[in-house]
Formats: sequence, C-alpha cells, structure tokens
Amino acid sequence: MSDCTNLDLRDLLPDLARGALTGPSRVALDAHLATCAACRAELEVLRKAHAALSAAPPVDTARIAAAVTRATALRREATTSVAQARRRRAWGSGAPARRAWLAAASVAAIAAAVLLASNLRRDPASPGGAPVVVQSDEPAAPTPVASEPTRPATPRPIPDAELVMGGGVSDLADADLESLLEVLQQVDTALDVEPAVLSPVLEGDV
Amino acid sequence: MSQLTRDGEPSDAALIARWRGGDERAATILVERHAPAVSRFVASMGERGEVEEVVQDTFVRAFGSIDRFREASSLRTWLFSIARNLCRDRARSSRRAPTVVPIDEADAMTADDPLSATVATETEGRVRAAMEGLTETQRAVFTLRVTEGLSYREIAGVVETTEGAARVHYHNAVRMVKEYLDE
Repeated sequence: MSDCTNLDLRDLLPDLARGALTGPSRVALDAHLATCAACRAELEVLRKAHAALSAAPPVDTARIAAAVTRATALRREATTSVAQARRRRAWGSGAPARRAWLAAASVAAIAAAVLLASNLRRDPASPGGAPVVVQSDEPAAPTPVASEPTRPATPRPIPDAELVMGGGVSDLADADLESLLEVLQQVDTALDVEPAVLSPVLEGDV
Repeated sequence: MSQLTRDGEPSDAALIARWRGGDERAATILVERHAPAVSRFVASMGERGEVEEVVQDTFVRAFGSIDRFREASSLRTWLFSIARNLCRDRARSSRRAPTVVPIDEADAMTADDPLSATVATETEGRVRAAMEGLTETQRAVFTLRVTEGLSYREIAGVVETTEGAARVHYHNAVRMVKEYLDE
C-alpha cells in the first residue's frame, strides 16, 4: 500500500491519534479517512505507538526539585567564591599601577638615603663642599709587599653626576637585557598565581 | 507575557520569574509540570534503568542556565533539547547506542527494565522494539510528534534541523515502525 499524498491531512494523524484534534480539521480528516486506506493504516500504527509510548516511567519530582535547589545553591556559592578569589588576585597581581608606585617609592627611598649619606660625608669646611674620604683612626692592616711604592690615599672629589645607583638600562648588553626581561617575566608570572593563603593584611584590605 | 495558563495556573514564564526571585516552590511546580513528559521522552529515546537520573540532570542543567533561556521556545521544548543531548552523551560514553541495529523483541524488554511495569502488552513491546530500529533522530522526531504533539517547527528546534527535514524524519520513522509491526 503506497503512502497517501495528501500531506496536509496526513500530518494531522498524530493529533487524531492523541485525541487532540477537533473542529473543522477533525471533520476534514474524518472525511478523508473514509476513503483513504493508507491513512487508516497509518492511524492504526500511530494509535499503537501513542499507547505504548505515552506511559511515563514514574519519577520522584520532589527529589528532582530538591536536587535543583541544592545544585543552584552550590552554584551560587561557587560563583561568590570565585568572585572573591578574583578580587584578591586582582589586588595581588592585577594592580600594576599599585606595584609601580611601590617600586617607585622604594627607588626614591633608596636614592634619598644615598644622597643623605653622601651629604653627611661632605667636609663642611670646604667651600665647595668637596667630599672627603673618611679615614679610620685604626692603623691600617699591613699591606703585602708591593713592587711599586705605596702612594698616599688622596681624597678624590666625586662629582654629583657620578651619584647614580648603577648603569642605565641602555648600558646593558643585549644578552643582559634579555636575561633581565626573563627575570621580570618570571616575577610577573609568579604574581599572577593565586596564593594559597593570603596574609591577614591582604584579606583585610579587600 | 501571560501570567496564567488556560487552566488558571501560573505560566512557565511567571514561575521562572518567581524562581529567579528566589522562590524555590516555583521550581517544584515546574518540575511537577514537566517531569512526566521529559521522563516519557527519555524512556522513548531508549534510556533504560536510569530514566530518573537523566530527568534530574535535565532539570538541574536547565535551572543552572535558566538565565540563558530567552523564551524563544517553550520551556518544555528546551527541556527536550537538554534531555536529548544528555541521552546522546550517555549513549556515546557507554557505547551502547542502539541507533541503527534492530534488536529482537525479547531483547527489547528485559527483567531489569523499569518500563516493564508500565508497558505490559505484546503490542506495546513490539512498538518499542520497532523504535529500537530507528536512528536516534528519527526516534526523537517520532516521539515528539506522536506522544507530545509538537509541531515540526518545534521538533526542528529540538533536534537541530530544518522543519522540512523534521517532516522527512517523521515520515521515514512512521514507515519503518509500520513495516516492523506488519511483519
């Protein structure tokens, strides 16, 4: 038996099998079924299928609802924890401006200390304020015998321009620059790792 | 958006809004309303023995991503989509997807099958055996059309295909089930 070619009416068969077809559509399909053996046969199959498949295996809806509530509470708790952890991490490593300020403040403090120490060692009697080498009162340790005659230690003026912490970055060789960059990158990576335990200061600052 | 169904019950949309507002009772009502249909669908997809687990996972997933539910489809259609994906994942992971290999009627119902209690007659057993011979997509389309009364458009959304393709899947499934039952 070949299939019915009236697809519009044939598509209504599942609704009729479920008992959900009413009105003009139902009338039209009933009239069609009276003359179409293929659709009658198909309707019989669909009725059997509906009877077989419409029985729902029983489920414990209270248990499922409780699982939904529990899972939602856990998800909210996890979301809150992650947000807190992200804020902590942002404080520790994700605030480059704060770190830059700390570094700048450290450099400034060290530079100030060096300048202060330098000024303290200047001879107040010298009009130009030329720095002097502080001589120890203690006798100097005997020096090994040298072939050349020992020259007396002459205080050498230190021009202000030499009061630097060290050579500039531009003075470094390429290889040194690369290794410095590696070190800096390692420091940054280490800072991105969320600490296992935060200090009370950090936690209290969040 | 209607707040009540034709039966005077709160609509799905209203219950979802209540759930978002912290009303846990709303979830219970939604589960009670849709769990039987999801259970029926999961069983029809060939899941045996762990129907309730799949149904539960379906609802947990749905409520877990309820914020992404834009109500472009009905909640039930969305639940069917999730349930179908879960069934596919389980079939894939356990390598027991009976998608194209027909099985004997005797194998269709086993002593461990919880459906035995609800499906008793020989005809029903034959229908389920016939379903085993369908592809996963055909089975989903056939079930959603015959037992749930979804339109082809809704079915297409669930099985991620076009409306026309859903109609073809349905008619192929009907033909195969009919041939099996006529044997």
